[in-house]
Amino acid sequence: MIHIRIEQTAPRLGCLAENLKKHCDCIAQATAEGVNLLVFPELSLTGYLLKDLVPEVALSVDGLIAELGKRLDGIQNFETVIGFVEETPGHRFYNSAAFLRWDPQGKLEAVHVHRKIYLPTYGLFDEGRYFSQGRTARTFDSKFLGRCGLLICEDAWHLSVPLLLALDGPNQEGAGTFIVISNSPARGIGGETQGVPESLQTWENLLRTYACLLESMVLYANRGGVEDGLTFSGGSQMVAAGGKLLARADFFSPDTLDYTARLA
Amino acid sequence: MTRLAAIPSELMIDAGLAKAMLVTMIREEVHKVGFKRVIFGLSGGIDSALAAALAAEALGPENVKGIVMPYKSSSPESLADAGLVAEKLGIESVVVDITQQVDAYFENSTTPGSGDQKIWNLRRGNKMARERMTILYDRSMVDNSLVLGTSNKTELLLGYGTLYGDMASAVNPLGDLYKTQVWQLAAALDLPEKVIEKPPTADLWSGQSDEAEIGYSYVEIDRIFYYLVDHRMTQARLVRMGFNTDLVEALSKLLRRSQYKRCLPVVAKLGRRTIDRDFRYPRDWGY
Repeated sequence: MIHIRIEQTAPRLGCLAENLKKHCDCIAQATAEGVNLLVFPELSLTGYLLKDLVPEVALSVDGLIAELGKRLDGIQNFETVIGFVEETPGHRFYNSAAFLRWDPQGKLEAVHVHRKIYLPTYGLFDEGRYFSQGRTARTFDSKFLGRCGLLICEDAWHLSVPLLLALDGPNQEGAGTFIVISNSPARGIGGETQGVPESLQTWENLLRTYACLLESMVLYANRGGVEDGLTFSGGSQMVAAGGKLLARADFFSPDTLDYTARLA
Repeated sequence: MTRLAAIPSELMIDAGLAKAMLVTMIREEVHKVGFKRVIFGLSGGIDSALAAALAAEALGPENVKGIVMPYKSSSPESLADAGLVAEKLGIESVVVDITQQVDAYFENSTTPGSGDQKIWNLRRGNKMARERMTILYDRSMVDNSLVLGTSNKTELLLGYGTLYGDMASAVNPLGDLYKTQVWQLAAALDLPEKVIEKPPTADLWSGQSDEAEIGYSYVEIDRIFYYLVDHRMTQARLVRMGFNTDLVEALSKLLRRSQYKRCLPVVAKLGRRTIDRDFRYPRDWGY
């Protein structure tokens, strides 16, 4: 049995120290409650509409590990996904997600870092102005979930990233679990929506399609809360391979979504 | 209700969803900057009634205060409707008559006169809107509250509002709802039918009507803006779809000519980082 948790947070925009503390509190609580894998949304350490704050809230991967290590003690045998602004030694900034593991001895390491490849720069989005573009999509091994692929928001709106992740790895077996993290603002409130924003309906179609087409479990961590009048839709969910919805979080507000899976 | 029956399908909204999003938005945008209360101009019209209903739901009616600010030519019916709305929502309302302060300015010998009645009405209307704004901002400081905006998307796109007057606010929950959508949400929130059904008016003088003044109904205006703005359709396409050519042209022109009202003042660029050009921070910066 493995216990998966999605923490649908509403970070404080640009307040790195406060968000770090919140992450550490969530991690400590999750480990105390027997959670094996905890997934946070995109840019969970910083908030979304950063604009010129991007360089001010950036961390290297080593810096992220050091910050967590300073604040957390005694965590063992635990994995988490955290969204953050990554700064490289050459001062490039990426919208990144780190898959981190505390081993049985309590040593913390980054198993995998995914840099967002497709930066939405249209409509209400302006990521291409502030972030560099990721260039690779690789699978990696989770101790609890096996072979995984990690995607950030818009990465899931282009066939190439899920396709590459579905073909990557030993014997081209691809990922068995897809972890999608996002910061999706709710929009579209036309008369036919029946309580679910149009943007989230499209997300749900995408997630189910991948779960069905790739015969893989899909974990979707979206955020809640409001920034500058944008209300993030929440609705984080876990979808079983084949497309059955296992659990869905509240809309718009922070929420905690738990699922206990029996994996073969 | 007759107003609701006339709304075409493309302008229909999921009122429950809109309410959930707007209540969340008001609560968060007010609380995150360290406030608990809002204050707003309660006119007796449907826009301010809806903004107040959403704020009362988000913050609790005890944290919402309406200021009714009639001028001597305002309709007594508006005053009565403002009272009706405040009572229905259980919010506090205060009446502040602005006649004296508006008239004092125009009666001052150094204030230029105007021969043209239309310009005169416009000047007086703008002055009233700006006096109301100063009252709201002054009282917001006393009450430690934020000024809640009540401008809807139709009037913001038309430019049918006074810059730094009724357009000034800290948080505006209605700015992305067309007037016909305001009516739908107001009905869903059970606001008085009388206030939804009455002809919309800026109430600068008795008997004034938005639709009479603009020359077209809100249903016609909203449909055209919906296709022009939300779907980025061209004027030519709208005409091919059967919309009135004159109205499409008139609305497109109003949209362009009122753009300045939806922007910060133009800042001349001189240095390396200029406000709103390459000095870009979110409004919620630091909160």
